[in-house]
Amino acid sequence: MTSLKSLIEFLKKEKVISLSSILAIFISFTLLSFIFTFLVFSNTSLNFLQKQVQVRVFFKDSFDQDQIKQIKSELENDSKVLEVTYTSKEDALRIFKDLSKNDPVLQESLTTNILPASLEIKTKDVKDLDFFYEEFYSKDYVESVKYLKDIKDKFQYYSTVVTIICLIITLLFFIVSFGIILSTIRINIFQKKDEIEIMKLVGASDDFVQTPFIHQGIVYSMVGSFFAGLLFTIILLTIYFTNFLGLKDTNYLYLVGNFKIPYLLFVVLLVAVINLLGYLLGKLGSKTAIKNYLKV
Amino acid sequence: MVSNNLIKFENVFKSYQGDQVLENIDFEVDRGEFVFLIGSSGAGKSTIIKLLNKQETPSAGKVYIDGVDLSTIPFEEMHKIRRKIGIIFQDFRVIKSRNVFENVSISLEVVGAKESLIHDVVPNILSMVGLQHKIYKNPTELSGGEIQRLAIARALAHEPEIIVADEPTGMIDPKASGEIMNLLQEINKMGTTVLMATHDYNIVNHMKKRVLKISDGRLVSDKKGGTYHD
Repeated sequence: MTSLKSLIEFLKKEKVISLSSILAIFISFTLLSFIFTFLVFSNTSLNFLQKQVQVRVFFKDSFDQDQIKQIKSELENDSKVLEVTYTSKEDALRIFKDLSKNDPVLQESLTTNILPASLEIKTKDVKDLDFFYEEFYSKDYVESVKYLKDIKDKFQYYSTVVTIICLIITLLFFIVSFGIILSTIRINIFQKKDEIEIMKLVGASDDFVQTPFIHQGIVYSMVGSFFAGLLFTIILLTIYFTNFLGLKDTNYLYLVGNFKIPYLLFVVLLVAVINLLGYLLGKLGSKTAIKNYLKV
Repeated sequence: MVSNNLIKFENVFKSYQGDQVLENIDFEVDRGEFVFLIGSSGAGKSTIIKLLNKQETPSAGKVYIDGVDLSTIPFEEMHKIRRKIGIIFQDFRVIKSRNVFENVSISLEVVGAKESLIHDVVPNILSMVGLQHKIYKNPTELSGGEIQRLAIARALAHEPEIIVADEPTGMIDPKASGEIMNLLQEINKMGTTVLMATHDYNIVNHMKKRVLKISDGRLVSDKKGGTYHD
């Protein structure tokens, strides 16, 4: 009984079961690809957001410009600080005018007195921003301190929650896909139960008996995973080449934590992982299915 | 390892849920012998055959095939022992979804024979059992005697050292029985050891071979050139 012959025989005989199994595995792997992509995109957004997080200190008008520059140079000597940018009242006005150039009435009413001078502080480690926030918050020469910590923390919190949910869903999909492979191969095995027993009694090794079924499991699983991979290749390349999310400009995705890879490499990696999982799932499912029938 | 006796039962006991089926079975079968295993239905003949290829394991005692203690062989390695034995099952056990050729080729496929060899050997074996003209027929199109001959062809195809036949004439007419026995005798003359379970006294009395008699799970007689009622 060659693997191919046996597979074609079963496909012909059980068209509905075979196609349903492949479709179910395709759906599972499509969802899995979606989850995987979502996690990587979410991690990339988090990394991007973390880079945007800064403390911006707005000074009272009474506070002298030279004193602000003195604080700036002190901050620049601090080992925790990555970058300090000074925005004078004039600079702030210019930036604001640029932003509101379509509103001449608003532009007319703007003067340097309205906008305060500020320092934008970025740290090497995002966690250190808390320190600078506390440092300036209580100072009497400070008008206000803006710190988008809440947004970052909330994003990180929801991202963690979503990651956990996604991992649980992934695990469930794996169990479902495993069950589908197991059931489909078991139906085939059950139809060939007597044949398997006879083969064992006339001297067939376990490998000889189980190989066609394992090949079948792998074929089912890999056909499903291949098409899921293909679908996601098309989706991800469309996102990239249309620059839909601006990813063509950044060109990198953060896979895990701070580990980044080129976008196109991610597409290759996703397809490779999905197909590898398809192979492993097919092999594991069918091996489990045949196990009990080898004890003759 | 070459042993003079191909089959050896050493103080074998077998019980199923407290029911003693075999009790202290002790015998040896040498290479090239033709041995009948006789006894009434339920005497334990089929259990002895199942113990030979480890379809069953003894409750006590040891079974040896070609000097190898089967209790030392794990199930996943039993195929190496089973390839030494060609079994003709009482209920034929042919595969209905395969044609005559494919039913015989299975014995060669499992030992990894090349396709070209299979295409040479199978027609020859089918000629030997007189089924060459039915090569592509389905087993459902064969008579009882033809199915039994097909089972014999399958057992012979991989040239086993032992042929074990469990009531091979039990379900066929006397004419077909005679043909089967002639065939087994031919195979034995070629050097293959034959162990045949039967309760057909005509065959046993006619052949005058070694007879092992089982009664209520015990080996009650072992006679060379014996008859059914010895």
